[in-house]
Amino acid sequence: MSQSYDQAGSVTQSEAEIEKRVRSVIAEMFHLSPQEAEGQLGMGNPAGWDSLGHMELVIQLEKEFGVTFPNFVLADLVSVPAIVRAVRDSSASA
Amino acid sequence: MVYYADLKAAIPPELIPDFLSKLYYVSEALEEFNLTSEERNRVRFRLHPGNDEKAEMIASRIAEVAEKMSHAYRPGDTKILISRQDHAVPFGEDPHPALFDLGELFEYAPGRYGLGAFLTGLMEFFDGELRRMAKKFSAAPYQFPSLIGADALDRCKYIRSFPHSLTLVTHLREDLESVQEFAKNARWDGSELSCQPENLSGIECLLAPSICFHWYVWLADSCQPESRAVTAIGKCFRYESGNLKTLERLWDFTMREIIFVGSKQYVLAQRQKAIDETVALFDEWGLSYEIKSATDPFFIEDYSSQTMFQSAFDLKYEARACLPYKLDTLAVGSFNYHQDFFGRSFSIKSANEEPLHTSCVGFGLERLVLAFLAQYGLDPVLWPDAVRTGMTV
Repeated sequence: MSQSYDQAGSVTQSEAEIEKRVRSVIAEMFHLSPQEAEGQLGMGNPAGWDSLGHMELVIQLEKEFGVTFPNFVLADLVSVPAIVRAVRDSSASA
Repeated sequence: MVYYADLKAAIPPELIPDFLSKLYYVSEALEEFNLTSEERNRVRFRLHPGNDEKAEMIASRIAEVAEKMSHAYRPGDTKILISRQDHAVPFGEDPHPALFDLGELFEYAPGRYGLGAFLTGLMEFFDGELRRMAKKFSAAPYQFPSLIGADALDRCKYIRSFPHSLTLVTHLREDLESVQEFAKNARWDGSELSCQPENLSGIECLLAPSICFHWYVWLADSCQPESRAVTAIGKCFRYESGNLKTLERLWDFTMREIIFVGSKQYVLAQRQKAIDETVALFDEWGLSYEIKSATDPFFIEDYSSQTMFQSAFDLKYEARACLPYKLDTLAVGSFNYHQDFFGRSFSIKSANEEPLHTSCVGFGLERLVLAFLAQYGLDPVLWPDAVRTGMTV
């Protein structure tokens, strides 16, 4: 597992590790096969990632990473790279 | 006897009105309920006589409503696009009593009102102005039925999201014995038509809760190479139980809509243009109002997810007119962006097979009339020129 410690001693994760966990949360929530979980994921794909699914996904991601996304980023969390960036930013500012 | 329902967590203050509005659907045995702003984790309630044994079950249901609506709830950031709340208006009384006295308003039952010539004229004036606005969007005039297929509302998940407000339609089964039995025995029992449910058909249709659905059904399973706009006026039906109140909240109301289907850029640009045009129109009418972000009244199961989603994605704004007689505001118009939800739900696609985006703006005409009269009174002498001269009294 790729992780390191920042100057304050907190565990930091590589973006690859964050992405892996993000894909795992998405896969579990929308019942994706391992192959599907590796594909291009975003709002609308899988089909369950709709308006209802989106906010549930946000909640699951917040639980997984122990962060609270600010309201103004919720609409940006529509792809795996965007979620990874938001997790990284939220973890850094926590 | 007074009962209490203890909630797991305090209801956020801004959620209280929505929470209380849902409690009308908890049980027919519930007579009254209250949640004080000081004690937001405890609902005090009374039951209709003879229902004491249901108190525990009802307390549990109230707690369930609270839990589901608060689950993962987070306050949205209210965006105020425009505020004319400080615009001075000359009237401050509730216009309902005078309208009843003048024979301009007749209450058939809560949520169902008849309007006289004066009110009808005012409604027609406002609608004429809104039709004039619709022309600026090259919106073609359409007409839709009051009935809408259950299949349509199921297809866009309306039945799941707003089950509490549905108005179901039935008719007698095509069965001679059933028709004869019904004719012989069905009677008004003082509160409802008493009849044998087995004589009634299944639910094929409902009374439409909104206008725009009709057009999405019309365009279903089609390819629309061009962006399009239509406008229509129609009756909408939303059952609101104990929340039905005067002209403020009707079961059966009249809505003028302008509906847009096309690319994301097109429908969002039209929505913004509609907001700008509304501001110009409301200013001309001299209204005191504001336009701010809003959410729809989803039922409890999807409440927190859907309202958070609408807030996060800037999907809904409301024009809220001031009601000076109650120091409150009333939604008289809404500006909605649905992303590609209806495009996907009804398979309305662009030339390159992508689901199209939709937006719509809607105005509740009875509410517009009420808000105007609440701010300017019934004497046209006090009215702004644009309304007084524009309306045929």
